[in-house]
Amino acid sequence: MLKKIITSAVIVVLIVVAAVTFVIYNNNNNDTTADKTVDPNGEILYGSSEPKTGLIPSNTNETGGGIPIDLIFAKLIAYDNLDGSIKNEVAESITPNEDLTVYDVKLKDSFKFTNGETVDADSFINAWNFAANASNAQKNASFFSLIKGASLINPDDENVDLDSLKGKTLEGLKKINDFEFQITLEESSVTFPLQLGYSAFSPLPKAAFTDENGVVTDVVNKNFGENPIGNGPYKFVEWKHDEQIVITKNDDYKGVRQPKNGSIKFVIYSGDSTDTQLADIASGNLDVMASTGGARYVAQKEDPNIQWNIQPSPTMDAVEVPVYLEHFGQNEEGKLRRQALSYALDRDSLRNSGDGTGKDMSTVCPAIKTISGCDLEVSNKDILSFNPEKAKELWAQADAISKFENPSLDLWYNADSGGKDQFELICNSWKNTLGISSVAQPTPDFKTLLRQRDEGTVKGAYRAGWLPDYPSIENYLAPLYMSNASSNTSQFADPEFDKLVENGQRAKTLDEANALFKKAAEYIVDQSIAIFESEGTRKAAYSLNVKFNPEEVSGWDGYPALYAFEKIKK
Amino acid sequence: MGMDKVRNLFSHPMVWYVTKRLLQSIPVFIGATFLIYSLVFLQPGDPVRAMFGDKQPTEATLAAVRAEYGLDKPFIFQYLTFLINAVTLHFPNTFSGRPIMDVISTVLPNTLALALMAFFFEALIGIVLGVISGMKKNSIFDSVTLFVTLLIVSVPPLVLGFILQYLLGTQAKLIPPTVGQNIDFYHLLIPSLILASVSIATVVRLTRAEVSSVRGADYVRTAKAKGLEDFDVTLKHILRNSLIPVITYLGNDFVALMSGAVITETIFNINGIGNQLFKFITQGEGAAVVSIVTIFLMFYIVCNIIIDILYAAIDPRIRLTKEGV
Repeated sequence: MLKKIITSAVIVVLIVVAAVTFVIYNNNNNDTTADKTVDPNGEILYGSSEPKTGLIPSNTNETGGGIPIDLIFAKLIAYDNLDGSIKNEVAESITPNEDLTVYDVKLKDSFKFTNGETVDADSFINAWNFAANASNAQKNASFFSLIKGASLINPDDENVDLDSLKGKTLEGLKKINDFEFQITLEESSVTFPLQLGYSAFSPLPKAAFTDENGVVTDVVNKNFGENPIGNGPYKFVEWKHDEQIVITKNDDYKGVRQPKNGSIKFVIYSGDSTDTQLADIASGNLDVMASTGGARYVAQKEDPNIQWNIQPSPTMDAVEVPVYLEHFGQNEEGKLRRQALSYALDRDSLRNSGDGTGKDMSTVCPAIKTISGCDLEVSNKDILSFNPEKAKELWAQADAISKFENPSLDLWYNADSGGKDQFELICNSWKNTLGISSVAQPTPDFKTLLRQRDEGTVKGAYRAGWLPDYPSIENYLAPLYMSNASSNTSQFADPEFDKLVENGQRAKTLDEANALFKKAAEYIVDQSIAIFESEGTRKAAYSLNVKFNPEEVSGWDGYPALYAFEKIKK
Repeated sequence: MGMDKVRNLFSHPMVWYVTKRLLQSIPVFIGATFLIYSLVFLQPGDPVRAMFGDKQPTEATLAAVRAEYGLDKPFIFQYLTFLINAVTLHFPNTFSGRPIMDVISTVLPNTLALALMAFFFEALIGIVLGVISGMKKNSIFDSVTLFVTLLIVSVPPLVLGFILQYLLGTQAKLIPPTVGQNIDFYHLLIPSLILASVSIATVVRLTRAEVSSVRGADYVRTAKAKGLEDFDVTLKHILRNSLIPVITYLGNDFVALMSGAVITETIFNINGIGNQLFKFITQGEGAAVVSIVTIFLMFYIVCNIIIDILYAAIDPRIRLTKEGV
């Protein structure tokens, strides 16, 4: 009996050893491509996801549809990733008036849609009116909220009669002539032009508004989303659902984002697994991947089959403490406690538990060259770093005002974010430094947490994050912390802060504005409404088949600028 | 004249049997679809609000989007609309505007290919190993087989999948690391083996147990005494008599394979029905989820009917004593 067991075990071990040896022996590494000649008509393969709606610019708010749309359409301006500035694209000039409430837009007459139609003032005006009108149920309607009259056709009222809104247009859009129109805003904004490069502001051809009978209406035909016609660096070729989207270089495009390749194929992956995409990158089946998780990067950073591109990420990661929590209100005690929580967060451990990249923040947004204003450090940035002594000191001062006797300060996050380790670490950090109880509490999914945040019923601190809509520090301040702002979930409302932001919005130049926004940032850091984690990094992975300039291919929104990749001839 | 023909048709026990089973499945459909529709609906959180992520839309936009998806009506109204449309074969569109049947007809063949291959391996490898182990019980072969299958079944498909993808695909380049649009035998080989891995151990053990108990039966000894070749004995007597529990398991497992394939599909990038189902659930699309579940139910019922027919084919006792089956 014993002999049988031993013999069996030996055989199994031999099989396993043989298998492993065989695999390791066969591990042939790809030699790095010596031949680096570039194929100007090469096809870039990008790992993507299935768009959640048809390819209509006003209705797409996720990257599966957003990245192709961004390349199919040219907007008034384009973003230059090398120097972080904005360049006129379809616009010839965008000129504000004295108090920055009216922008006069003159268009170049040389842009055409791929069906031959000329891009003119109507192309923009009709597209924007369609997008901004709530009766059209377009998900990007809110992007037009700064334009005068937007709140009339997209009110914050759930009982509005949607039918009565049909056909209404934005009061603030006025056509002057075929190649000129004026935009009147609800209030002064020096940063408004920065927004105009976002896909929601794309122009549309008359073909988009033509229904099955050939009649031109004011509503976009849903079939346009299956076959979009644009004016951008690429033109749409095909969309095989759940498989791929293919776009090719538009030879008539004369704008700023000149393609360095011949076509782009969006390979649609069925699940969310970035590991699967990385496997394809390493084997050369895929060329570009937007980002991969920290653990994967650590495991494969020495892989000779992968070219890594580590860039700072525009994502703002923070933990917010809402002001409706007891002991954390908008008063001296609340401020002391919140600052203490920020000082008590051991950010080095947080980073080391991940992939070790990143550093402490120095303002309310990551310091990225391509986001205007984010490279200015605030004077009180020490609050954004780990300092346990200061933390204990401030917490004790707060206790002197009113003792913290709550059983626990919990941190709520959504379980499907995969951030369990990170949040448990934050709780432990607070526990160890301040001696309070703190537990990381998961909600089953994102939409549950979203509902609690929106309704103001979160029973503790919670995960908050932000992705900018346009490259300005203003977008990290106004929608999050101004009174009653659209994404203000902490319910923080302070007229003094509001004034600081408005001062920035009314400045005459961007530089002046950024100096004033810095003051607003300092105010928020002082209040510590959001306890900022770290400046993160985007770890983009590319195959050996592409050549690139690391900064040029990294968009301000954290996604790759696919037009700037060159494909290497095999 | 026509009525006579119909009556003749129905007097055939098989036709009557299958019809009866199909009719019995109608209340099952209604019950299951209602239950699942409710579960999707009762999920906390608002699927329409979730479409906007961290950005807050205005109430008017939310109302308009809700109206577009019919989500502004009360639950019972939504469910009944779905039921009535389903009966007239008018399945609705998904949130992204595609007809659900389009989506299902594109992805179902992929999952079916994967599941059928897995089923084939599971049955072949499982039964062959099981028979040999059962005939040579407690031999070295038997112990090694049991140990190896136990090892395989204790590693979850998620882990096994990534390991094999990395070692054999990315490193050794022996297999393509992902499937993508290449739905063929070569690309689906490893994924289907991984999918089958969980069930192989069970099939082996089941077969082994049955075979070793049937081996000791009187009629087997009689057959050998009569002078029948060992191989004939194995095939005619032992196998046929051992297979009934194995077939039951395999039949039920097929639908489990189809739904459980979601993990394998994600790892190897196979555009299958598991992935779509998962997306629909998280996005709160009740109609789409129930449509897919209906398909699974149909497969399940058909599989069960096939099992019953196979019983009758294998075991004459069942066939001959059929009285209103």
